[in-house]
Amino acid sequence: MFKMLSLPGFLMLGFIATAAAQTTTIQIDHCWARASVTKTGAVYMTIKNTGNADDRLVAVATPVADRAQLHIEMNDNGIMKMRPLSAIDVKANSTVSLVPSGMHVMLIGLKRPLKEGRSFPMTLTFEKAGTLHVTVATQKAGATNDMAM
Amino acid sequence: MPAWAHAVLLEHEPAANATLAAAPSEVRLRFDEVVTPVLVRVLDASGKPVTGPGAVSAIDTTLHIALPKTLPPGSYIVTYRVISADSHPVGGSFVFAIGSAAADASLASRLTGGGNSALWGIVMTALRASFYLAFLIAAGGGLFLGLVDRDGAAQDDRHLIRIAAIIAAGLIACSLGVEGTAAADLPVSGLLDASAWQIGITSTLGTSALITFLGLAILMFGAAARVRHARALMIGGAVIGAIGFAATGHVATALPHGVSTPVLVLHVLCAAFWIGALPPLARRLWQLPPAASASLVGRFSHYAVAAVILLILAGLVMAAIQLRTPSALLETDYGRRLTAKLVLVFGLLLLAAANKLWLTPRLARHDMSAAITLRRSIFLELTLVIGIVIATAAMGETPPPRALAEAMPMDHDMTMGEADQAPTGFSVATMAANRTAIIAVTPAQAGPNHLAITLINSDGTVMVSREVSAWLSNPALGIEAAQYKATPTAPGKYALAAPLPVAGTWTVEIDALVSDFEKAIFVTEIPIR
Repeated sequence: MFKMLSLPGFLMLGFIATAAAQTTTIQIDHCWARASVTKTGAVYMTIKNTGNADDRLVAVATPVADRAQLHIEMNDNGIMKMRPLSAIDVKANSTVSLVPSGMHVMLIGLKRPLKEGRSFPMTLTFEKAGTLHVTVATQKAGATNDMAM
Repeated sequence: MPAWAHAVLLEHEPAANATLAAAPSEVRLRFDEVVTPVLVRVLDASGKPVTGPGAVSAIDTTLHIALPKTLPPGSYIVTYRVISADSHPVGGSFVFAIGSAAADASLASRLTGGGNSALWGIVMTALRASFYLAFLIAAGGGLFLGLVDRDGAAQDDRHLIRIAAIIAAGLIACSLGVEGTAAADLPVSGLLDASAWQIGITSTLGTSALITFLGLAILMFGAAARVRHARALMIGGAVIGAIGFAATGHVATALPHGVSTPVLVLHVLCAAFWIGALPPLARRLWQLPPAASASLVGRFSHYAVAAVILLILAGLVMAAIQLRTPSALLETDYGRRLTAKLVLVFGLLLLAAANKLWLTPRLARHDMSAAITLRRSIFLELTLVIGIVIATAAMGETPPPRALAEAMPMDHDMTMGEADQAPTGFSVATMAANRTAIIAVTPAQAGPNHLAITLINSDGTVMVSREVSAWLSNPALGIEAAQYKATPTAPGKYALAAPLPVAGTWTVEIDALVSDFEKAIFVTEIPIR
């Protein structure tokens, strides 16, 4: 009897363990934006995947802008170039930093200017971790990192 | 081409690399601000323009390019050059196709141009420096006669003001043509082309030139002999001319306008007063007896101290707006040019201080040798001034850190040759050991696909690899990895054609051979519809 119970029990435990192993744990830190100068803005953050499965950021949305896109900027032989991305990979047990001169969320068609000291909500959609709600703190227009860090 | 400047192409129709069933009636380019079209054309696959200059119309922030009614099927290139509000040209191109053929993305890379930009940069710097100098002498001379030497009998000084004003007006007129020719990327012969001049005139430089012309004309009228209110006219002309400076350039586009515009005008006027006063002052020291020159120099010093303090304060405010951080003084091109200017200004200040504290009192004691030393010092000051003016003009040719910081979230890849527009494919950034790979797959649909790979180092520069290959597999469907070699298309950029015959999630592994001993491996997944 004990043995009969234990087998599915073990199977169950194993299944739970496997399920746990397949979930990603996404943590967003230092989510900040630059005060806007025009109708476009940029949001930066640190994305930490403490789980052991790969995940990816696939969509962003905020009520303060018409559109939010993932972008990457690079220094192409002295010329800064920017291109939109469909997704940003966040590998298992790794951290991806969205920083000025690198990857960022670009806000297009801001409904009102992003003012220094104010904050606004944003939702991030991950392929596996689902939707996360974050609050973005607005820093100076020329800020190069999160002053609150 | 560098995309530092403010105007950014936000969206365009048709999308890059789109294939349309039928020819559209027009191409639309929407920017984030109102732009002046310079050269906006649609070319066919052989590079022949299919639209004329009359096809382009600007409505608000959007440029409309009317297309001919009968465009045969094939690939087309849209190429644009516009001038943004800070008078810098911005350009780019993209490809679309009509009919069943896929857009030939390689067309855009065949476009050539921009080869003359370094030459034009030097020409513009030289023109701007000469214009600044002529303007400072004209406006400063006017301010000197208007404020300091009120006897105003000096026929020679008025003559110098008129000549300097004519030269300044001529130089700014020339710069309109050069600006237009450089912006349109025409050869030197473009200077003879009326359209190049029209481009320059319709840019913000044209507005600036118009205001400055008006100021110079008033100044010249005031400097003419036997005019009533001559002093007021000369001062007013100098002020209006200085306002023209605020209508274009890096300071004009810096926010807040309420601060940057008056500060710039004040800076120009104080510089003009200081520098423009030097030639008449030198002449007086030559002509007048020591007692008279002492009283004149005393009166000049009185104003000059205030002017120099205001000049430096205004300069510091503008530097703070443009640089944002003190470290930018050494780290950026703009900052280094400003540093050179500051060193020269410091030398000039030392000379001015020596004149005031040491030579002026000697002059007051009717020391003849002091007048000679002072005259020498003024010539040395003029040399330093020329250096300062050249450094200032050179600053106009490179974007200030402020513009770089603002441009960051707005700049787009202006050379959209590759399939990087979201609607036509899938692109993902994936990291491995602090390096980033951007993998763009077009059209990301079952069938033949184009993979564009961009490799970036941790410092944001492109990562050049000896050999790059892609392993494509679909584990869910049991499709084993197949290797494809990528060919380099530009430093750090690689491309390959890959068949992805079925829809589903494909695993892409990019192997980049960094050196004989190091290989960077990036793994990601691409959804194929």
